[in-house]
Amino acid sequence: MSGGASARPYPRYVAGTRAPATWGLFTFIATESILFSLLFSSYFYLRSSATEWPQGGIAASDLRVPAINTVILLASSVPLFWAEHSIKRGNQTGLRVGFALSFLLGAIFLALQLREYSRLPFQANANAYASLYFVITGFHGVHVFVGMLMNGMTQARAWAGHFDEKRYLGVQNASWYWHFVDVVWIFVFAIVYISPHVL
Amino acid sequence: MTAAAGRLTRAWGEKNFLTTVFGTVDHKQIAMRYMITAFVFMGEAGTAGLVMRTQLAVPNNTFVGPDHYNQVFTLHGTVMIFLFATPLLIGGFGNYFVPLMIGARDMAFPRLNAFSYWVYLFSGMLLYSSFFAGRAPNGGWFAYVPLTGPKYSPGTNLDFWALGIIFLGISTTSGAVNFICTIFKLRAPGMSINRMPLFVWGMLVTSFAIIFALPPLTLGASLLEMDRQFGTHFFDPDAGGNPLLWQHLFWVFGHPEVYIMFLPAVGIVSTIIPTFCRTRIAAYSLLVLASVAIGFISFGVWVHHMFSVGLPPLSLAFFAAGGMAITIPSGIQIFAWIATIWRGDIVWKTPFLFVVGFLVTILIGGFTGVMVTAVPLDWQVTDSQFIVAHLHYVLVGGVVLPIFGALYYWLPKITGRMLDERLGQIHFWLFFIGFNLTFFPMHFMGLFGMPRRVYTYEPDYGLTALNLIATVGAFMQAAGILVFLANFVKSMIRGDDAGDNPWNAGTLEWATTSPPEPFNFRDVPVVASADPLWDAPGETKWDDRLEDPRGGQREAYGTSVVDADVSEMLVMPGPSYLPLALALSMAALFVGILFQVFVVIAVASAVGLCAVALWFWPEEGNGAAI
Amino acid sequence: MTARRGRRPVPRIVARLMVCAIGVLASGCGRGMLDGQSPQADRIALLWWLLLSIATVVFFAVTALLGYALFRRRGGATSRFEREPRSEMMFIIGGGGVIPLVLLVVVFAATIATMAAASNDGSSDEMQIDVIGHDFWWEVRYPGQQATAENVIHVPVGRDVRFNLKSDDVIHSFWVPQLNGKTDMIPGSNNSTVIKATTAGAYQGRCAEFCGIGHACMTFILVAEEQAQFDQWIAAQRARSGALPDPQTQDNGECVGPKASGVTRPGDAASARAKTEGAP
Ligand code: HEA
Ligand code: HEA
Ligand code: CUA
Ligand SMILES: [Cu+2]
Repeated sequence: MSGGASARPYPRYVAGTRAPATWGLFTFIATESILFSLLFSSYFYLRSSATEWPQGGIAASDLRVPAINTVILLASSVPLFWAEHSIKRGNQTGLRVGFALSFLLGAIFLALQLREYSRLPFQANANAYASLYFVITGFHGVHVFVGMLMNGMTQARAWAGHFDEKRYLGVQNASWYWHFVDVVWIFVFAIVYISPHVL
Repeated sequence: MTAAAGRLTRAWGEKNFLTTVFGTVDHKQIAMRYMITAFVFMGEAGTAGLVMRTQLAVPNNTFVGPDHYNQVFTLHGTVMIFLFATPLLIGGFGNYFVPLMIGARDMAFPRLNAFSYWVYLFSGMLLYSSFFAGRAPNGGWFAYVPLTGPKYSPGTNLDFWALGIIFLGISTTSGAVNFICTIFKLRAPGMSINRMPLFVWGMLVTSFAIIFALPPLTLGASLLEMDRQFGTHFFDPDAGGNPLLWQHLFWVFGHPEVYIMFLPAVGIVSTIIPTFCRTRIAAYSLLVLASVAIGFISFGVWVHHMFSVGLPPLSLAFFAAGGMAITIPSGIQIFAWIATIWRGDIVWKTPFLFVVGFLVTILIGGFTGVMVTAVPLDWQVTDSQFIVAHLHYVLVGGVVLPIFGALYYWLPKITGRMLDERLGQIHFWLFFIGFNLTFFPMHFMGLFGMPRRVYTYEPDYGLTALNLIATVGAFMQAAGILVFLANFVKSMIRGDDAGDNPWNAGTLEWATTSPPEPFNFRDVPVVASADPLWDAPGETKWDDRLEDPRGGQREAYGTSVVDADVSEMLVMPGPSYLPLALALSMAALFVGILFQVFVVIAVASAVGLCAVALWFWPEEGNGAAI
Repeated sequence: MTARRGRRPVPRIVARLMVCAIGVLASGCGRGMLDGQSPQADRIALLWWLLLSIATVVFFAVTALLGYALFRRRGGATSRFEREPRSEMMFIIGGGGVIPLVLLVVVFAATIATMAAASNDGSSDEMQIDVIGHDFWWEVRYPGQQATAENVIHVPVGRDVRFNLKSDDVIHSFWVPQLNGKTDMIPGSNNSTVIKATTAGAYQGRCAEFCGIGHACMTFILVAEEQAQFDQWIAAQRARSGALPDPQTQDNGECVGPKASGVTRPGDAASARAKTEGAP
């Protein structure tokens, strides 16, 4: 047995599907997607046995602010693409600015959501529709918040110099998670906000 | 050679007592904790079973009253399913043997693994604390609303249940994520996906089933908790909710859950049979396909638990057909095992005895399963003792018997000591006969009209005798388990030395010492077949390049998903207190929610967030970061 | 009734045990679902016997194969890793896949046929009875006849009766083993089931879905009797001012009166009547 300091012919830092952590993220996103789809199914299940929708004389949501919010949230993904692209070339500034921009847009989104909540004429305990409304949007909001925490964490690590053109797994996973949260919002918007108007 | 082992031990071993107890990330340590914890829970839940059987031994008994009885059977079912069978199979056997069977040094995320254990322990304690507070959950293991809603269960009993379940789900899910990544990325070089041991296949399918099946449970329990604490109306028919939503959510989880327990057990059977028949398993690829098929179909049959809620005939027929479809892969499994036995050359040892017991009982349990998928028959027998019979035949016969087999098979690897054969056989016969005495009569009780979940019955129509027999059987099972405990103690005191491979088995866990060193294998196996230890000498090669860990780091190979070609170097994290800290803060958070103490909630969240931040902050010189 | 339920001399228990042992297959003891007294229960019992026969045959066939595989004489040195893929695969796929598939087609067809028969729509002159589940008692109403009752239901023998099932609080389930399978009573929705008792008698009915502390005691008696007697009974029930809560459970969950989880034989009309007359 030679033992000794033999060569390590394999790369140490990998990203994409070669990294176990990426598979971890995928499976985590899979389980979260199921959770959201079940929330949506529950929405339609309760709706299908309801005589009026929204229940209890609540008016269907006003679409203006949610529409703006949709644009904001979708836009917040763009700087992340740019940040990821930058770090792959070793551009630290691009990484930091990109994450900061996305963070800001996320914060605006959450602020607008909270403003919406405060203006609603009903509470989660009014009836099943109200419960669904708050739980679906609130649950998504929590995800936005978690995404922002991940964003902040990545920012801090960027300042600590953890990333370069070879080591960007953390950047990649934080931004993929954010994209996932974005995509979920499209469904939330379509189901909670638009569907009561059109279906 | 020993120098290499010394270097590896320095990298992979524990530093001191404190880190060992509170900070270990060694999958074997964690697995043993899982096993011991799960067994304590089994002892408690089994004792609950004895309490029920004592109450039901004679008609109009007053051993426990209805209130107590309801708590006892709810705890029994919940604990057996959530805190005994699932964690023992996945966290215990899976954790210990998946890395060994695939020739890895640890799980893919060792700290997450430690975290899973702590969360499991604390959520179990949360659930059980209710019992000592005299407020054990009392709504049955599937906790149907509205009974479990705020109006009809005002106490905190059900809050313990719902929060405990949500909390535990975090552990189960992170465990499943860990297994998928480990199995996909950490297999020994050359262990392509068609050379993976069948137990590993079982764990893989089960992990995927968890990923897809846990969310409905978590969601259901969260909605229930919101109904209970925040006044939402998901399940309240008076305000637009629907109690059937709960049943759908629960069983979309609940049905796959039974296969989540069954598939690892099946994997155990497929591991033990070839070893004791001294031949390769027959129809390996069909067995893999069968596991995958069962995993898939199990998501399409949940309604068979709801046949009597008044659904339209068409959907009843659809779900009946789905349930029957599961019979085909199950039949393939049974026949593949028989073919292996047929071909083989049998060594009658205790593990094999338990597997033969399994084969016989799973037939009976499977057949009663098919009977209850026949909708009109289910209308008659559902919620009767017939179902209690079915579920114990498949759970005790189909899951617990393989668990015992696995203990006799694998404990020598874990402890380095053999168990006693004679005591093992006594254990088997006591348990097997006792089990059949307990649960076979329940079929008749059900047919004669005795419902489940009743704390007593009238002295009439043959129920008395049947119940008495069942009670006697339950105590026989307990005696069998006591014999097992004695056997274990005896083996620890003066059991025969196990050696590396006492059974002459073919899979990799037997290629290393018993018990294995902290780093599992000194050299990395390079695999050329499905049973590497049965290959001609020299066919399995050993890669010694990791014998000298760079900078004392925990190095391992990462391999590609399908072919297991080495593709990168991984560096695993060492011991850490963070998993414990995070789990503790989450436990505090849940207790805070339970009693609605907002200070606790706030502090716990803050501490938890700090722990997460530190967790993802890579240690110096150890870029094991995500 | 209490007398009949009193302590039983030991020899009778022994005798009963023996009857059980012999009569298990013929359902000699117990008056459960196998002792059907309605077309619905009969059809389901038939399905049961079919399934039991298939299961028994398959069970013995498979265990015989297993036994042979385990104990067959092995010829000399075993060919440890030699495979016989063709015959082995045929055995596995044929035995584990094809034969079960054929049997399942039979089982499925029988299931569908029985489902149609057991959940039949009833006839046009079916009688309607509303049953409402409460914690822990049964409210019975005869729509159009202004008659009510608690925990006892009378029906004319030989006539289709539709039970409209509702719940006032949690989920209960309506079950008369000798007459038909269970139908859940779910708050917020309406279910119904049709029963036609072909033999006069009193049948034990009970709640089958766990509904809380009084679940074990939530029973009722269903009396099937000739039309004339039935009319008489209805007339008597009409004089009352509506159903009155009559929980069968004390506060600690113990049952009021006998804890009737057993099943009553058809001849027990007398005891049922005793219970009826006792009711307000
Ligand atoms: C490990 C656990 C496990 C397993 C493996 C199974 C296996 C099966 N189960 Fe079971 N089941 C439970 C655990 C399990 N179950 C539990 C816990 C409950 C109760 C929950 C509660 O209410 O508390 C339950 C309840 C339950 C119900 C609901 C009953 C009710 O509440 O009214 C139904 C209904 O269809 C059902 C069906 C089946 C079927 C069709 C199978 C099939 O997978 C069986 C397939 C296997 C075979 C059939 C044997 C081998 C096959 C052959 C040898 C081929 C030849 C066979 C034929 C031709 C028939 N199960
Ligand atoms: C894996 C799952 C599992 C297992 C192994 C068991 C095992 C047993 N079960 Fe359980 N059971 C369920 C899952 C399980 N059960 C479920 C899901 C339900 C439905 C619950 C519901 O309706 O909500 C149920 C319901 C159920 C009922 C029906 C309650 C009712 O409807 O009224 C009964 C009644 O007899 C029963 C009995 C038993 C018995 C006697 C055992 C025996 O096999 C137990 C044997 C074990 C022991 C006797 C332990 C002995 C241990 C020692 C002596 C050592 C002591 C050590 C320490 C304390 C550390 N069970
Ligand atoms: Cu009503 Cu059980
Ligand atoms: Cu099921």
